[in-house]
Amino acid sequence: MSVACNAVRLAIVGLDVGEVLPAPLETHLSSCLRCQVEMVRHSKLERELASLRNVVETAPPSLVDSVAAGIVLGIDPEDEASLNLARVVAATGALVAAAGTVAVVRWMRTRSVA
Amino acid sequence: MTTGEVRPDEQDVLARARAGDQDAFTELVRAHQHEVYTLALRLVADRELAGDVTQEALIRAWRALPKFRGDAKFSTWLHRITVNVAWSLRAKARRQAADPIDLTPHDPVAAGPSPELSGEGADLRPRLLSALDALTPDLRSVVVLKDVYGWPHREIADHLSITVTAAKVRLHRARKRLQDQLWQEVEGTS
Repeated sequence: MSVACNAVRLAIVGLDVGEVLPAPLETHLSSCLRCQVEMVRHSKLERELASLRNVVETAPPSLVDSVAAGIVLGIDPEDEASLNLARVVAATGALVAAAGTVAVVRWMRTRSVA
Repeated sequence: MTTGEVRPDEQDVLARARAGDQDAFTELVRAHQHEVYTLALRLVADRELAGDVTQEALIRAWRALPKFRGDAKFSTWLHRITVNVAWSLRAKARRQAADPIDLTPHDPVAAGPSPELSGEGADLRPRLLSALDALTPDLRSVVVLKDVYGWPHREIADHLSITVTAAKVRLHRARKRLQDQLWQEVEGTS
């Protein structure tokens, strides 16, 4: 591989979408098939990476309950033990108890307002 | 499934959540959970850890919500919190784990490349996901935030507590490794 090829391939890897190579490197690129292959591969990689933005993975089914339990129980996210507690609560269905607590608190608030 | 865009009717839900309405916040969680989980998964490449990151990020978001002024989109704000949580959990794991192997995915997200997918014209995505998972967390974070999520170098550097130059160097290395892994397979099978 020539020095020019090395320089061009190094520059290609650093290109962001919409950027072009400096003129001297572009001149080499236009006449070097191997470097053109590298450019095509780089563009393909960038396109495919950008397309991942539209691929949405499905969160675990218990996530919403875990977060809700964490909020109701006043979990401190810095404290791992309390985060684990939220997971256990969500997983074992103790969320029902937490929701019941919320309902009672709300009922008591309603009563105090009334 | 939402892609994290702010819907006009979300402003009302957001306002109620900011005022302390837990039901409203749960509605926001339902709307954004998959988007936040996806970012976490791309960053940590481990489904279980991504679930933890998402849970912690959303609880932190609830606690920080009164300070959310709406300068950025709500989803962008959530993304920033998620990146911070992913990074701090990783740092915590680094401190706790005597064995650095703990930092590598134990539940790889994508299956390894199969022979029928190795051709130059074959679907690149499964192999790309696999190659991303194989990157070190340092390199993966930068390439995910820059090339997938389009963050500017400055913001990446700030969130990862590195210089802009370091962010660019990591991005260069990450892209080079991805290319090497993706195209070597092609050349190896041709």
